[in-house]
Amino acid sequence: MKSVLVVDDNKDITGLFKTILESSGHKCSTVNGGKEGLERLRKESFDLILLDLAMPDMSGIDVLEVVKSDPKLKANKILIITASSPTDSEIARIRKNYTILDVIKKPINKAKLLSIIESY
Amino acid sequence: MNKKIMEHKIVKTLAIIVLVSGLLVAFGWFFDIDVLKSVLPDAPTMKFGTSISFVCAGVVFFFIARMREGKASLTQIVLPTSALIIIMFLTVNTVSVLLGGSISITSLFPERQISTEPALTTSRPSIGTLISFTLIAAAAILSLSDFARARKLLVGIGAIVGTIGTIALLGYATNQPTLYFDFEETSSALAFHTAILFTMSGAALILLGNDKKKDPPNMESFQIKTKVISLFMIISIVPIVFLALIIFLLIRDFEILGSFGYSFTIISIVAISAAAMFAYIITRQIVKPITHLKDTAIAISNGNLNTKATENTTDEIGQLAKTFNSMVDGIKKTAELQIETERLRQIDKDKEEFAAMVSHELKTPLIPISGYAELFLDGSLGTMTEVQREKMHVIYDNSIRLTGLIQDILDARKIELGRLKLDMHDETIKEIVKRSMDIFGPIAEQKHVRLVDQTDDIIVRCDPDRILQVLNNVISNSIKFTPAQDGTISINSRAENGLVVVSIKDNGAGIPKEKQDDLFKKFYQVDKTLTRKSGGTGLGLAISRGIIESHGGKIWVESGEGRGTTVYFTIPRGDIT
Repeated sequence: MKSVLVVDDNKDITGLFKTILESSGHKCSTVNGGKEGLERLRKESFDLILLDLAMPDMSGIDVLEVVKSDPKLKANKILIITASSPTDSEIARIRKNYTILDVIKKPINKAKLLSIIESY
Repeated sequence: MNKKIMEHKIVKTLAIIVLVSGLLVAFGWFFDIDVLKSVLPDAPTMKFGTSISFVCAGVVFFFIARMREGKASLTQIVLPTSALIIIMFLTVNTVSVLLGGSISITSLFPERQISTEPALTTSRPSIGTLISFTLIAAAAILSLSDFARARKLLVGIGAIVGTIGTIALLGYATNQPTLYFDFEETSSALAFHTAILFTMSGAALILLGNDKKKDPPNMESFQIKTKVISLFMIISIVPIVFLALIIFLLIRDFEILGSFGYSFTIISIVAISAAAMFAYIITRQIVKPITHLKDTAIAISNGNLNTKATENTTDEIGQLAKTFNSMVDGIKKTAELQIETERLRQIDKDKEEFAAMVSHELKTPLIPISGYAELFLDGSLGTMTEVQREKMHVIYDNSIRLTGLIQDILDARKIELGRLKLDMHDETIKEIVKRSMDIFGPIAEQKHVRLVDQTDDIIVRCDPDRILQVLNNVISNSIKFTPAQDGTISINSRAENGLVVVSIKDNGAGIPKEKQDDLFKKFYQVDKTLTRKSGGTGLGLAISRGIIESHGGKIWVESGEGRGTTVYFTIPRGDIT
C-alpha cells in the first residue's frame, strides 16, 4: 500500500488514476494543477508523486524547480507522466536538472500504471 | 570644407578679373578705343592675341572652379570647346612663328595695327603668348581627367607658370629685361600682360590642383558625357586645323586677302559650333540610355525590383538593357522564391506546433476513455451484463485504435520530415521479438494462428521501441492476412556482414509481384475491400520503412500469389563485435 499524489490539470485523468490506484488498495490524493500540488506537498508527505508536465497554471518543470530549491520538499519521489511526446534529449535534460524517478509517456493503461507504482 | 569654398571663390574671382580685362581689351581692339587697349593706365597696350588668351583663361578657370563645386551643367560643353578654340589659335600662331609669317590674330585689324606703339608693331605673337595658350588648354584637358594624378599636374604647371610670371613681373618692376626674357628679340620677350596672366593662371591652377575633394555626387553622369564630347572635339580638331592652315596660307600668299581673317573667324566659329552640336547630339544618344540604365540599377539595388530599363534601341546599349532586364527578372524570381520559402517555413512551423498540440490534445481525452473502459471490462467497477460487456469492448477497442492511429500519423509525419529521433541501445533481437510475442501471442491464439519465434540472441545497436513498432506492424499484418486454423507465422534472425537480418514469414495468400513495390507507400492497401475489415491505417509499413531506413537498414518483401509472404528487414549491428 502506497500513498500517491496525482498532479494533473485534467480532472478525468486524476479521477481515472485515483480509481485504478484505490481499486488496487493504494491511497491516492489528487490535485488540479502545479500550484495546488505544491501547497499539498508542504502539508502532507506522500510515497510517490505523479506529475504532469503541461499544466496551465504552473508547469511540471516549474514545480520541479520549486521542489529542487526547497530543502523540505527535496526528498519527494517524483514520476513524470506526460501526454506530449518529449524527445529523448528533452527527457535527458529533465533528468539531468532535476531529481526524478522516471519519465513515462501517456497513454498508460492499468497494468502499466500499477507496475510502475509497485516498482518504486 | 570651408577652405574649399574659399579656394573656389578665389579662383572664380581671379577668373572673372582675367576674363573682364581680356574682354575690355578685345572690345578696345574691335572698336579702336585706345584707352581700353591697356588695362592699367600708363601701361603698354595689350595685344589682341593676349586679350583673347585672357578671355580664354578666364572662361576656362571659371568653369573648372564651377566643375569642382559640382555644377557641371555648362562645363561639359564649355571646357572642351574652349580647349578647342585655344588649340586652333595655337596652331595658327605656331605655324605663323615657324613660317616666319607676319600674320597673327592681330592681323584681323590690319590698318589699326600700324597705329599701335612701335614696340608692339610686330604682329607675330610672342613665345609667352603661345605658352600661355598651351597651358590654358592643358589645364582645361587635365581638369577633365579622371585621374587624381593628372589633376596634381595642375599644381606643377601652376607653380612653373606662376614662377615665370612673377619673375617677369619682377623684371618689369625693376626694369631688368632679362627677367622677362627680353634678349633683344621681340618674339622671345614675355609681354607685360602675358606675365600678369601667367601669375594669375599659376595661382588659379595651384588652387584648383590642390583640391583633394572627391568628385561630387553628380559627377558620374557628367564625366562620361564630358569624355565623349571631348573625344568628338579632339576628332574635329584635325579638319579644323587643316582648315585653319589653308586659310592661313591663303592670307600669307595674298596679302590683299587679309580680310579673309573675318571669314576665318566665322568659319572657325561655325565649325566649332557644328562640332559641339554634333558632339552633344551623339553624346545624348549614348549617354542618356547609359545614365538611365545606371539610375535603374541604383533603384534596383535600393530594393525597388519593379523598375525596368527601357529597351528602345537594338544596339549594344539596347542589348545591355535587355540583358539587364532579364537579370533583374532573375533577381526578382529569387526574391519571390525567398519570400515563398519564408512563408512555407512559417507554415511548416505552424504545422509543427499543430502536430504537438494534436499529440497532446487528442491523446489526453482518450486516456480516461480507454482507461475507464478497461476498468469496466476487468470488473473493477462492478459487474455488467454480457451485452454491456460486449459494447464496452467496442468502446475500448476503438479508443485503443484511435490512440494508435494518432501515434501513427505523428510518426509518419516525423519520418517524412526526417525528424525521427532514435534512442539507441544495445539489445538482442530475441528480447525485442519476445516483447512483440507478448502482445500478439494471445491475438494469434484467438485466431488459431501459430506464432513461432526462431530468433537468436543477436545483439544489435538500435532503438528497441522503434524496432518493436516495426515488428508489431509486420506481425499484425501477417496475422490479419493469414488464414485461420492452419496459419503459421515464423520469425527468424541471422547475422551476416555486420547486419542482422530478421524475417517474418507467413503462409497466407501472398502478394502479387506488381503490388509489392507499393506496399511500403503511405496509405497503401493491397486490397481496398479489406480496409474496413482489417482496420489498418495504411501507414504501418510506411512508418516501418522509415524506422528501418533511419537505422541505416533495408526492408523488403518476398512473395508470390499462393506462396505466402516473407518480410525481411536488416539493421546494421553497430560497433558490436
